[in-house]
Amino acid sequence: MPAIVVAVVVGVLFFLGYRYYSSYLARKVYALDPAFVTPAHEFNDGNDFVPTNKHVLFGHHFTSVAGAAPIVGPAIAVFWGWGPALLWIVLGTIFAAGVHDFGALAVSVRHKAKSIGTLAGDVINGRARMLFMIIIFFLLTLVNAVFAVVIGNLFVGNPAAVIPIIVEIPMAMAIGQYIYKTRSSALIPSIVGVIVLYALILVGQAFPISLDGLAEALGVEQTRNVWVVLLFIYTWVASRIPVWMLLQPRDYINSHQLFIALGVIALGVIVGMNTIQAPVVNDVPEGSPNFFPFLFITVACGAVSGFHSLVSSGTTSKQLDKETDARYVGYMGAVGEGSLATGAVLAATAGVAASEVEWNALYADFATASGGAAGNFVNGVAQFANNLAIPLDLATTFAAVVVISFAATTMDTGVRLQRYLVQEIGEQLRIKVLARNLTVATTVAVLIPLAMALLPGGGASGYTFGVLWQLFGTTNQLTAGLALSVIAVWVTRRGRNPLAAIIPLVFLLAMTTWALILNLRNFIEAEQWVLAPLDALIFVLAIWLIVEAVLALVAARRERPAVPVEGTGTGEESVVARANPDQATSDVPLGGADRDDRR
Amino acid sequence: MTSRVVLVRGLRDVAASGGCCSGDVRPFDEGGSHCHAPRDESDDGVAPVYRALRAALPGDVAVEIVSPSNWVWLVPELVRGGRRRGLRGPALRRSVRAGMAVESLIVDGVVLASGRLPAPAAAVAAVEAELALREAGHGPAHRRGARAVRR
Repeated sequence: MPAIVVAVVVGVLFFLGYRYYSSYLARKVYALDPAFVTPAHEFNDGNDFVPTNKHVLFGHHFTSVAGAAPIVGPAIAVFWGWGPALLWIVLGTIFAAGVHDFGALAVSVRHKAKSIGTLAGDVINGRARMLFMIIIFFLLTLVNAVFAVVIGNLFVGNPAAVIPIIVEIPMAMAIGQYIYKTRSSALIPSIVGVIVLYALILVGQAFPISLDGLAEALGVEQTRNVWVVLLFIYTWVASRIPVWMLLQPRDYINSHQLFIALGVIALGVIVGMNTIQAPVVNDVPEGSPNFFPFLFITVACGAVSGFHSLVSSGTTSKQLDKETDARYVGYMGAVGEGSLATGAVLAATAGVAASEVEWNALYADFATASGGAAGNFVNGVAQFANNLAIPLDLATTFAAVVVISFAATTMDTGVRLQRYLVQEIGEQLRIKVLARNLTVATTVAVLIPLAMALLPGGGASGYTFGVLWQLFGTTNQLTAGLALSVIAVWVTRRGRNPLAAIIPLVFLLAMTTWALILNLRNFIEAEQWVLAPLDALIFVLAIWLIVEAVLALVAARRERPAVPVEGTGTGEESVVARANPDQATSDVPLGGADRDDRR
Repeated sequence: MTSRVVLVRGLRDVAASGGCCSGDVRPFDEGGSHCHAPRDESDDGVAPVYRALRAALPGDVAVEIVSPSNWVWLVPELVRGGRRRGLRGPALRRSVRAGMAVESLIVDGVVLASGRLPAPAAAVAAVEAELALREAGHGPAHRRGARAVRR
């Protein structure tokens, strides 16, 4: 099957999903009102709350949700064949991610643009808020652990990428200083930064850096673990310095790299006309995890990701100009992420291997497939770049640099967010040293994921990276489950049909709990005493979430009005509220269908 | 919308976005002072200028705040504005670069301030003057290059 045909078919399906399903959601489920006074207008302060052009806002939203995660998951998931992986990406994007990302935005806008964690407390109850905090804590821990391992593996496999990535740090800081001091445009310095970064690939190839010797001297069995420790030392420092000094200028560079990589994949697929070498459904070796339920937790970002609800309700909802813009920004953001995941599937099936035999060797078993997933994506993209006459070795390092840059930024911000959360938990538990002491909070935020990245399994063979990745996917899906519960309860209370949110919610909870049970049994049998308790804890959270969701939905059904609360119509009330902002009350003494809609 | 005023944010004020599973996210709104503290206006003059402009300008004038990293939207906006004014070649490049700088003030592609925003009252006066010029028929096509308004 030519990759270009698959890309076109997926593109058409995404278009149809946006054209018809998101339209149904906008009219019948979220009942968007073009005249509704959004929080951006009601609380317009020029800081957080600013009515923003929908195309500008989409740019912000998309760059906040698209990154390294939708690359790694699909690159592992093609182990079950490209058919199941792609089917889940397409159906998940259209019927789960679209509903989730768009819904979190729509509900938040109707509640003073409150964040999803706060909304969980308001819409469901205080326990749900606590549950949310614990799930996010695990999610961030696993995000930081898995990306440290991904970067470590890529450094080991691509020693030529080390110099460009290391030099990128002072270069980004220099760009930040230059922009800050001269107050000039970031465009030219950041483009120059990208050019220098890619020029450094040649230097990296001339002087590849390997830590094999250091690992041997330290008695560490896997060189990757040395990189993991160094990465966490780096993030300990990086997460404490101001955002504008390193993170933001590196983001400028990354934003160029995102478009360059997407352009290379698209052009490479068109020019090379590569055909998919993987089977539609792979006959996996005995003892491998089944694609039911494991496929659905292996691909989280790219099909449905709970993290997006934090972006939708955290910053995007505060900038929505018109409520109807939520469809374009929220649903299209999900489609954009699904497109990136589709690119990852194509790279790992059409780009990475020239024949089915070659592909089968790369995906011989689950451990090989998951450990090599990021490398397979890198090699696949390199092949697409090679179609554009870029030498293969240069192209491979280029692709590795792109993925590592994204993953490193994810780690930087992930550790920073984890620090916030550790401080928040310290405050809740009245542990002053955690709440107030930045050094202690950062150290805790670094040590837990570091342990997760190093300890599980142990031994010469280490552990199957895919298992750690699945735990990350599980917590991400539980976050999505909680957000979908909030959306379903909110929709039910308004007397509208909540099935659009309930179906993906039930599916996600069924898949995650099923996978958690199977994994728990495997971990106990394999005597993995780090992963087993973690899995058990996440399972308890999943059960807790199911109980809260069922209780909230039953209560919501009792409260729902006889006549559905319509958000659409003439918009007359919204016009009145716009003219009399003092009378506009978006505040949310929740529990009644009509009390939280500021119309 | 008859006109569009664009304010480009300052460097310090923009939260970074790191892609999936990171980025500018906020799990909770309330909590300790460490938890997503409000932005410090002393670092960035955009908010008071925005509020002043929004209060002074008629509703049909759009006022947008854009991150300096959002070049995908900013560059076409500045190029379109520059070309409408008849700018070509180096003059157009200079105009685009000026508009991309942190804390810039742009009216329909005309860069009124670049690198530092004027005080709110001065910004309102500059924008009103620009809009009045356009209404009087002395549109931007008669001018070349960026005009800087300083504090």
